[in-house]
Amino acid sequence: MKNQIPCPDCQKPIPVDTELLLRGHEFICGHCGLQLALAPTSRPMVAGVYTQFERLLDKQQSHQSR
Amino acid sequence: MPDVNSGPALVSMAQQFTGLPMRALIGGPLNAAAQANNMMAVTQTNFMLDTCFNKKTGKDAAGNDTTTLEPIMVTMHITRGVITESESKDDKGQPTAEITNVTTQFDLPLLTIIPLNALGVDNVQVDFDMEVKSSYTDEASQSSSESTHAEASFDAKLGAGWWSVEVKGSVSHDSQSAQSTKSTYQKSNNAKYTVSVHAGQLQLPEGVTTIIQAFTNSISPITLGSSSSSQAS
Ligand SMILES: [Zn+2]
Repeated sequence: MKNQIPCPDCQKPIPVDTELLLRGHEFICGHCGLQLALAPTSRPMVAGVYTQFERLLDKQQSHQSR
Repeated sequence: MPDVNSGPALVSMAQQFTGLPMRALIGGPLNAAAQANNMMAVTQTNFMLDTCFNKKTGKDAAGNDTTTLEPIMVTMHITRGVITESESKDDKGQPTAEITNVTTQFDLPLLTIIPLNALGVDNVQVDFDMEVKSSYTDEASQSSSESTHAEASFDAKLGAGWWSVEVKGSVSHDSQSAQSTKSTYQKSNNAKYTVSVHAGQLQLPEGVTTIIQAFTNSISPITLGSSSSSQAS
């Protein structure tokens, strides 16, 4: 799922995908070339919240399709 | 022959449309989407407060209960190429430059990497065609039909003297002719409308955006020991 984080160096937005971040992917700032990745130590915590978020999203989508 | 000025009058288009529940046709789906979005805004906010913040309760100076929300932070690693002078020298005795990757870490509020804006109705499209017809047709038709049927038979004997032949046969003939005159007079009043209503991407509630912005603005990298001996400035 797409999201944007401002580049800590040049402040330009870096498009990131939370799912890919959780899988260890790096995202590169298109402006300054900085590489961004989620630290392995933070992965379990983000994964937990993201699972809850996906559940909420599923609930919403099933509600909408009714 | 019918006359343009005679015959039943046409119903006015405006009159036809007054009966249509336009408000319900267009407003219904949009209203439902708006309500759903409203609900989602509350859900988004609650989700954000419940999962992306640590709640701390305490008491203020006056002894009243207070709740403080502290954002949960996640650690990100950033890697950047840094040009440094290496110890080796080129042919002219100048130190050569080399690019080394420097890894830095920084903390980011968890809420900035959860795509909260995915919660919400992002597209509403209401499309329908309306066609209102009012017509009057007068048809006059005259037709005549004629049919003839003829049948004849013959029986002849031809012969002369010593030979004869007998021929028997019949011929029949059918003929039908039809003639019709048709005069049609048609008054028609016709209106076709295509209604298309679109509500685009719905943004995060202003408050949520402000909170996210406030946190993202204060992102400050902290330099870590890198893969090389270099340190980011
Ligand atoms: Zn950048």
